[in-house]
Amino acid sequence: MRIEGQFEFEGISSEAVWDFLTDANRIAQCLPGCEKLEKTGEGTYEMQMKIGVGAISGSFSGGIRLHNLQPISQYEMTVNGTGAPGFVKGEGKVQLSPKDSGTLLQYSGDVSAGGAIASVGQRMIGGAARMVIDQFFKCVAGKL
Amino acid sequence: MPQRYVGLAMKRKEDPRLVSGTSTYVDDVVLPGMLHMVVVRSIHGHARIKRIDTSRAQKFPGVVAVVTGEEVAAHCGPVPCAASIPKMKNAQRQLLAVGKVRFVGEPIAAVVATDKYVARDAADLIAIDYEPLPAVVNPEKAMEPDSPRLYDEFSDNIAFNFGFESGNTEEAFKKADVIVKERFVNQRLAPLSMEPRGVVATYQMPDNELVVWASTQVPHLLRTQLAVMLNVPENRTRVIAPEVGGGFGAKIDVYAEDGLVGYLAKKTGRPVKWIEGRGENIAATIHGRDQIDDVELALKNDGTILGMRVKAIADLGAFYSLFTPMIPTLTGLLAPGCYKVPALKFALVGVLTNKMATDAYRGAGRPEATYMIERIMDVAAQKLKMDPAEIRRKNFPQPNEFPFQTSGGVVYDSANYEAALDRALELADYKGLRRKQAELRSQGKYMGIGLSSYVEICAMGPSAAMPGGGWETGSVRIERTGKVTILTGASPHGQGQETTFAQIAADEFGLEPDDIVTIHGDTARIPSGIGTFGSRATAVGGTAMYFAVQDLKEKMKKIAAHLLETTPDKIEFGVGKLVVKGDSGRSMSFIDVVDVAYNAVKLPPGLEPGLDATRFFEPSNFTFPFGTHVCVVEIDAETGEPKITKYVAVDDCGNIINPLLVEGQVHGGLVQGIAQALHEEVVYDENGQLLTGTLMDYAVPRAHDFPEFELDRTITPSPVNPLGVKGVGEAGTIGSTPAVVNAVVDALAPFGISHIDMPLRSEKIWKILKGRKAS
Repeated sequence: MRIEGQFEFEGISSEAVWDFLTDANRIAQCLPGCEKLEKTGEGTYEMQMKIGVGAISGSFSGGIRLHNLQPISQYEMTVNGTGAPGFVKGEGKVQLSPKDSGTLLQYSGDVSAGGAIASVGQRMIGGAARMVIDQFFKCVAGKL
Repeated sequence: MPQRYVGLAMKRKEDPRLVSGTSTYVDDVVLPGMLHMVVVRSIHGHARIKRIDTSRAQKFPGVVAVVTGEEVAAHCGPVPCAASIPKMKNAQRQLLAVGKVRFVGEPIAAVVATDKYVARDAADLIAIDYEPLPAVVNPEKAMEPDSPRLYDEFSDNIAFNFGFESGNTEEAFKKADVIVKERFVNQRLAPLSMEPRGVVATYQMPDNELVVWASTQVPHLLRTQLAVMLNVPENRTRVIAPEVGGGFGAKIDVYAEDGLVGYLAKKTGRPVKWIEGRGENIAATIHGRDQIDDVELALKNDGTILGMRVKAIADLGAFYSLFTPMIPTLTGLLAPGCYKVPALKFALVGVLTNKMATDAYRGAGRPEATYMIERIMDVAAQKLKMDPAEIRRKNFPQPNEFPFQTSGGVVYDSANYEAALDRALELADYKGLRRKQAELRSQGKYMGIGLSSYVEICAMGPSAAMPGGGWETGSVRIERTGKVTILTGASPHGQGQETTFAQIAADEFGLEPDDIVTIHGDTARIPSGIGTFGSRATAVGGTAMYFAVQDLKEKMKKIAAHLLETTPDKIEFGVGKLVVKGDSGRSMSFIDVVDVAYNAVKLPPGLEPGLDATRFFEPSNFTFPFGTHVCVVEIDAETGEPKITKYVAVDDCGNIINPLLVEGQVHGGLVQGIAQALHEEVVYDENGQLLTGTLMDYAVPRAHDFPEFELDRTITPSPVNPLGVKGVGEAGTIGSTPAVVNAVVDALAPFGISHIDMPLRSEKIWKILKGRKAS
């Protein structure tokens, strides 16, 4: 499933946004349901997260890998998580560009899911993902 | 003696306990010390299992046992398949996956615990390390040489090829004035009985006695299969089917969970229960249909059919359930429908894909046949500019041509197709409807009229055509008090045998239906049997019972004749008594004859005491019910929503024991058949993920989707059994689907539409209305 969108960080520089989004400890502070996020190597993180989509919820463990980093303008991200309700996988791209006095963040990617989360929650995955992303960026903007 | 109860619209004897909620289903069975099983299922459509870590689940408080594939495969046989096709690949699977999973929902591990919530929580602690593999869900892609392969040991995913040719199709197509062709996709459906599956088992050690309560259509068949699967003596195995809340074919199968519950009862020494959840029911109970049919019909300009060619692809799913490979072959038997098709070529390929197995779902192979012939007849009528009713009429075999040998390879027993067609057209006011349609079209409104003249295969069936035998048993015992106990092997799941069998026996014995009790669904009480499916309960099970009744009547006549000093051929049954023919003053009451049989003092010399008889009935042929349905739809030009405004069904199921039950069967069948046309579809994504895993996503129809059905019937008795009955369990489903699609296509004919694949949801129709101009 294709997910894309954008978020405006008003009055916040691309540099500040970039620094935040590539720092595991700070991401963890803003990621809803995040129970653990640890850096395990260059650009790789281990994660434990509680996710709820519709009637399906559960704890997912998995990893995040950031790659093709082009500081302060764009990076790519691979996410995967597995738990009792199934699995989620995502591939995406984040681009930052200056806008007025702030930063425009654009994201796009594909999310796929399997198991109960797919059979029960497929219709809701897009909406749930957008909600989590929005909450995350709002939190980031607040902290900056 | 005149019939007093056969043919009467009696309310069902079963209903008081059903409507008052006092009936016992499997989930109502509660035993001391009972454990609960939860199954861990694959979340991937296709993957290797690299590692399963059950350690955390094993330690979870309340957990008694956790089992995985290797252990279970070492102690239990695979999920059984009773059907066989020459040269077919053996795609059987173990009760729990070993090494690989091939569909979402495939059982991988089972947990038993003291409480079902504990078992559920513990199941979540089992960590499975998968190596996902590319999946294939499209059967045509699955046939390609570079497709992902489901079974490493097979060279491809083609399970089998099956086919035949009757007559000379090449010549028929050469001689044709017109050839029409179309591809018909018969989408995958979920049977969705209201009561899901469920099993309870106990295992008593010293005697190795296995007792299983299961929501099954076939207790005796399940007993044999479980005994073999679990290596338990069959004569120590008992299967009880308590009240069964619907099956629609899906409860004929013997499932992994049936074996697992039995195995775990044996392993733990405690009773074990498993009740299927709705999500499991949609993912891991067999699916129906899923067939692609490329059909060509060769005709003369006057509409006479010369020949038919069918290339069928059956998507079997990932493995074989009990009858999986056999079901699509039935499509070939019924391919000519109720028409004279002098030449027929049928080529079927069965394909393995990363989906749940398909098997018998209400109609089982025959709805696919009826759909393609009834659709192609309309395509031909459109091409030849003939009225759909007239092209049908033109090709019917006439009543005096029965028994009628078809090019499908079966012999239709008896029929008058034209009578049913005429009655349906009359009831629907077909001519008036056509006038109204022309009027509405001129106003830019889209109304369609769809016909379906169907025949189908019931009373399954002769043993030669049925894996494991097609007979049924009936035992009848007259108790010392004169009450009659019937034992039937045709274990019902909603068919009402307790009522219909009592009606038949009451008329035969001159008793009241309340004097008669029909017992079913317990292998310890019913000596032998097969079960209820393929519209066989009355035609095969009822006939076995009827013959056992005749045996007892003969014996009672001998006793009465002895005491009334005449010969048995001079005795007949009256109400409550046995009478000397033509001399009503000389009679003995029914109960007095029963007394003599059991007191055994005044019996004729050489006659054994007691009144107890068992019969096995082996039918000489199937029966072939038929009928014509007329469906009228109106399409909302704004939304594309098709609304059924009229539905007429004229069905001929031979003689009728109870018209209320016949109507009930027709209603339910219509609802399921219409729902296939308009709503239902099991959808997997390209990775084999099930996207219709809940009732929010899988569209089960509701009452407001239907108009009031207008039903009538013609009666053409079957010569195959003495009751003259044919069967009616599946007819509604089989006849209705093409009637609805024909109606929608007819409504859209001004748009140049000659076919749309099911389900005909409003979005699909809306796109057609938006994208084209009406002529």
